[in-house]
Amino acid sequence: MKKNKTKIYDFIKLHSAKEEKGGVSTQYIAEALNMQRTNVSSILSSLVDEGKIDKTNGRPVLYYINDNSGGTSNNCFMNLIGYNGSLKRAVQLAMAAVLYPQKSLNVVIIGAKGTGKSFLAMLMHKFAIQSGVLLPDSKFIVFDCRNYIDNEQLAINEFFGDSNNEGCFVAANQGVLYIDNAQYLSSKVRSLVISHTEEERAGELERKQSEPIVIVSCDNKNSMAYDDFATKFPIFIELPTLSERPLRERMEMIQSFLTLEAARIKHTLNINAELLRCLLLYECEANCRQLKTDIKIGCANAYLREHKSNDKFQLFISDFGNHVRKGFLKYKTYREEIEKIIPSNYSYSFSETSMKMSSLDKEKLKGNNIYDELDRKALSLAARGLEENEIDLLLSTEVENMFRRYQNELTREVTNKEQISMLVDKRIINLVEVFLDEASIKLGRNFSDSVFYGLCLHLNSILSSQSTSNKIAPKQISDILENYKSEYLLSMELSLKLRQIFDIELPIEEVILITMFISCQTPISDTSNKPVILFAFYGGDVAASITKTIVGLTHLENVFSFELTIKKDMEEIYTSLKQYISKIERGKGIIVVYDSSLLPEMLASIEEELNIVIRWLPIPITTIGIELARKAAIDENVDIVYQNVIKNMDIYGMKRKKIIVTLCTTGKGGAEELKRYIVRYGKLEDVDIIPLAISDRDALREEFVNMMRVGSIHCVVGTFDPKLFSLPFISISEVFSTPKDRLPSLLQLNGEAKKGIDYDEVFDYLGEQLEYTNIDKLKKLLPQFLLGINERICELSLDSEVGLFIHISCCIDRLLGHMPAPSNIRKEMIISKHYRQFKEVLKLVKPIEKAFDIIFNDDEIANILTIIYKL
Amino acid sequence: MVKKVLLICAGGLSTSILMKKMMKYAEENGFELKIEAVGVTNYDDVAKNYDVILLGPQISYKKAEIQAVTKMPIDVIPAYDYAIGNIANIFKQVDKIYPNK
Repeated sequence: MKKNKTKIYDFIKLHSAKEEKGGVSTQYIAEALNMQRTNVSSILSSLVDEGKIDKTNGRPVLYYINDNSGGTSNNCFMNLIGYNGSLKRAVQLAMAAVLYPQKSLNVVIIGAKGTGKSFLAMLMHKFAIQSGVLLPDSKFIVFDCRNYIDNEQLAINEFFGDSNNEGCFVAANQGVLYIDNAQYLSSKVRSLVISHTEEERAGELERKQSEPIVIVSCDNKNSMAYDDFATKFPIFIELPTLSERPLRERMEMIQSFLTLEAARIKHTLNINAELLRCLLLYECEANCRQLKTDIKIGCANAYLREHKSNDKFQLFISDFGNHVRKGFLKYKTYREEIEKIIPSNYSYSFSETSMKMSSLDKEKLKGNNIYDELDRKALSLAARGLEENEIDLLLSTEVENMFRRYQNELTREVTNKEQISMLVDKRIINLVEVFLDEASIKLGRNFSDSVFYGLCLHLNSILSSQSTSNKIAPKQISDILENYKSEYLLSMELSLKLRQIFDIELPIEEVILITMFISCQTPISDTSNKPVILFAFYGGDVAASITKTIVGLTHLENVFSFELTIKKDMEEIYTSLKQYISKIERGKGIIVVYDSSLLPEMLASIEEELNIVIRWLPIPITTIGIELARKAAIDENVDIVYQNVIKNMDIYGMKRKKIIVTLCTTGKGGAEELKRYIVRYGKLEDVDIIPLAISDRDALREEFVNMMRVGSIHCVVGTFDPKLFSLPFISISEVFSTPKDRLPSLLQLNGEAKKGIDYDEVFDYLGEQLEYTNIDKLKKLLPQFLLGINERICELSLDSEVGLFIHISCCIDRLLGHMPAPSNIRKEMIISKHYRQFKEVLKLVKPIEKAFDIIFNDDEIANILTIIYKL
Repeated sequence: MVKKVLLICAGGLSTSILMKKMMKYAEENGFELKIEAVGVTNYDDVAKNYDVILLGPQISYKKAEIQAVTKMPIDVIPAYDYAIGNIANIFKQVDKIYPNK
């Protein structure tokens, strides 16, 4: 019996404060603890007699811990999660309002739905009793304004009374009147309520004993109500939304709700780290209340599924709504914080009194490689009804985490080989040990632990066939073979042993990589003495987000971001940009990608001041965005807006002027002559040709730098190759030896192959094969058509261009011969997906249709789109 | 020995003119040729009747996919040979990938 007594006392202690009603009922306790109701009832009354617990007046009777009995300074707010954290100020204000001398102050509580406004009001009532401001049997009357939305008069009657009814101001006398959802009150009722409370306060400090403490709750959406109450009520408490509160507090709530459910279901709830993380992160629109409800629903589902099986309940993510799963998506953002709160490698169990964390059986993991572990995870996630992409996301972050852990271990120079044996096959470890010993004798070189670990992990990943072969440039391979012969031989021996033991053939790249490991070559992705990239964009975090994405995808640490603040003055931006550039620069120059017209000037003087090579790449996304937004606000036609902005792209510095430099050492005359020749036969549009006659390299460099500020140098044509800025060079002799009609393609530099197609030959071939088509007409129309595609739709590769060329010719022939054209079964999809381009192609084939008096049907246009877009 | 070649392009049109020329070439050079030109959407059924597959350059991006489906020797006709119908080169290509039987 005594045991039951403590059990009940502990239960009340744990749960009473967490229940919204502020206490637990006899029924509830009896069910939760699986006891006879009558027994519980008698124990409860003896506890009340002993003064250990208190009960409320009214039905059902609720029991709660009598804090006075503890004799400590405990008050009921201390059980409120966050009372010392995000709700600290709210709690202080609430206490101050209650304890205000002579008469408690009226309070308005503002907060989004489910943030705990009613709960706080209730706690204040409890606190008022606890601290002796109100009598123990004082009332807590709730007036929910939602019930009176359409009935102003009824609301007034309910508040102030009528012939049948005393009104709740009176009913709540010497207690608390809690007006919930006050945003639903009409302005008339609002002002009546406010003036009532004000009058009552104005009645001197001599308080009419009968008047209750008024607590009003209001969301922050109805600004009128918000303003009215916020200005007229002396105390104003604002509750934060769940997402504004620290994750630790949310974790406490989850813990508390789960123990509550555990008590209700009378089973221990088991839950894994992933699900717990989801609960911690998903978007709770209705804040704490929703969290509580969702957990309740999840547990109910688990109960439905498992109540027959055993006494241990496993909660799965599939027990919860889809919105809970979306918590994953935020995992990456909060990864570090979460790892601290909910470490992986643990499973969690909640019983009616506590939460236990038990580490997963490490022994099981031992000897297996990490990928097995991942596979197991994937399978078990799939078994829990997760979608594939969710699994992938989860696993990819898991992998990243894992490697991060390993890396940390490496840098900490863990010399414990046991540890690495958890990840790596023992045979590999032995092999690497022997190999490094031998290598250090033969090469007279000592290897650090990180080489050992790095090599172990690397080989492990090859053997588990998870890593794709690393690409190494042939040049680099030959360099290494030349310079590190003995290291290479040793590595070959290692690869032979690997073949013997594991029956696996290492590709040459991998052998080279091992060679690099032991020749202390810097790893391939080392960027420490290479140029760096800087993104400098307007607006909060824009540049930072881009940078983060790029680094996340490439794992290269050579990209940086700088935020341009619109408000700051130029001088300030300049100074901090200069500092930042000098900090990140690694001696090999920097490419700045920016969207502000201010930057060029700044960069020019920074370049000079710091003597750092800076290249500029304007991508004025913000300017274009502003332009688009403005135009779109004026014009209804989407294409007009689009064309308008596209046309002006070069104004924004997007399309940079192409420049061809003609260069002559003998004097400007030669260069000018060359320019005239190119202008005449080069058929170049939108290209500036600038003749130069400079033989001094430094002077030339300066000239080029100036040009690159306003445009991009397409190529240099001239008597000598200046070998500057890796610019393409065409020698003067090449220009004059090329037939005039080939000159355009020579200057286009469109790769060797494109030059090779001689369309005259192609037409000869077509003329031979096509039965109905007039080749001369074709000769006139086809190039135009292809040009149109290239310009208006997209630039075709040589393959596509040739394919399209022949395809259209055959098509025309087919139509002329009245043979059926091949149908395209995917035409609906293709056309709807590329509708704009579809229209464009229709326009482009018009001249052909006219000339040959044929019609291309939709199937045919879809075929053309298929070729263009490689569908 | 009969050479069995399947040509695939976007709609089966452009390879069909190549096909004609290849048949003529085979006739002139005295070897037997079984050849067909189909579109990229319907090679599946006929592929088994042939020994090698050649793709028009405009669908070179489909090579891996078609290879995976048919598991046959496959190659892309270089754009230049394709454009002017350089049959001699194309047959060299066929011989290069032709399975030894």
